[in-house]
Amino acid sequence: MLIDVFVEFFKIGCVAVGGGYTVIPFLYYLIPVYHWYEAETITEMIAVSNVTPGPIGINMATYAGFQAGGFLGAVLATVAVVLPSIIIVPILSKILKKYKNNCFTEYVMYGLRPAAVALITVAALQIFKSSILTIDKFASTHRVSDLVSLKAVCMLCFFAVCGYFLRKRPMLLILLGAIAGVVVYFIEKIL
Amino acid sequence: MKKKVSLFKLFWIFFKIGLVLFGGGYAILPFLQTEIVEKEKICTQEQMIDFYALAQCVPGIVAGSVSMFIGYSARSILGALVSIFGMCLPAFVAMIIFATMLGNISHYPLVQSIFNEIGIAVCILIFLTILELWKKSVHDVFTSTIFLVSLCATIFFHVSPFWVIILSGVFGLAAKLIKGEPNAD
Repeated sequence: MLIDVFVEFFKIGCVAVGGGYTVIPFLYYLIPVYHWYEAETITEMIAVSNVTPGPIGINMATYAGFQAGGFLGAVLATVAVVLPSIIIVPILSKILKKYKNNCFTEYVMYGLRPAAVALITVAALQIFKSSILTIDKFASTHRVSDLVSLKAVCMLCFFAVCGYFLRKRPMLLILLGAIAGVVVYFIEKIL
Repeated sequence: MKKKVSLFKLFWIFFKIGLVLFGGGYAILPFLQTEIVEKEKICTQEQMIDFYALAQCVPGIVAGSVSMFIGYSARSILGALVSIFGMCLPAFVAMIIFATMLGNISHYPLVQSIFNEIGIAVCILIFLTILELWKKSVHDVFTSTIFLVSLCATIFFHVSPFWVIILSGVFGLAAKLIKGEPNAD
């Protein structure tokens, strides 16, 4: 049972290339095979891992592992899911170190860096879409005024100004975000 | 020569980052930029982007691989191990707490409100980081083209990040070889 947890999450770790969300289809795939959790648990897992610290892939592995085999299951699943990185990264780092001053490495990186920045931009746009725009509301009414709320625009401006001054202290900005969330909640409750 | 950081320091930096990392691994960059590149000077900004790009291509969780690459560059294999341990520990502890006692708190309106605002803050942080990264990696016609093509391929055609990175690396190599530049900048 526990060895299954380890093997399955090691496999998930191996195929999770480029972002924690690639784990999700594989979590669904495991349901009929092992009955460790149900389909609703996965939706719940995604919601919970969005509100807990840490990379989402680790959150999912720990949670699913716990459902499957208690505390030991959680430890095994977490170790298994990062094991592919633990094996590959040192090997790759060694190769990189060897060819660090090789011009070919520099040429590859020359093309690779703008692509990496593009991927980060895509991620930022996705967060922008999910945290600022209200796409669902817009889709049902088709009114531009429903695409974004006044509150969201105000908060965006607020964080843009704070972010500019706190750009050397990103952790402080996250904390400020949490405080703002509490304040907004109580203001909305009073109004 | 790079400053030598202690293993505990590496663990502590990644533990802190793991603690404030909400959602996906891409949110890691603003923290790496300030903690690793600017404050501790463990690696350069170019190295950080390289590591991030490579982490997209290797199996495993992106944030975990990035932390291992950085840890390895600072203190070899032990550095890599303490870095990923520090990165994963908050996630692990948080999920155990959730699974054993709290249940799903993400339904509470107060929690939703908090994470909604954190989402906006993270969004701003990432955009500010992109502006920084831009200067060093998108600076001529070729790199601008790669940037735009990668952006469109991912948004409109849902091309996997894996292929975006691999192909742009190949194009970068090909472009430099065709141009025949004796030394890259």
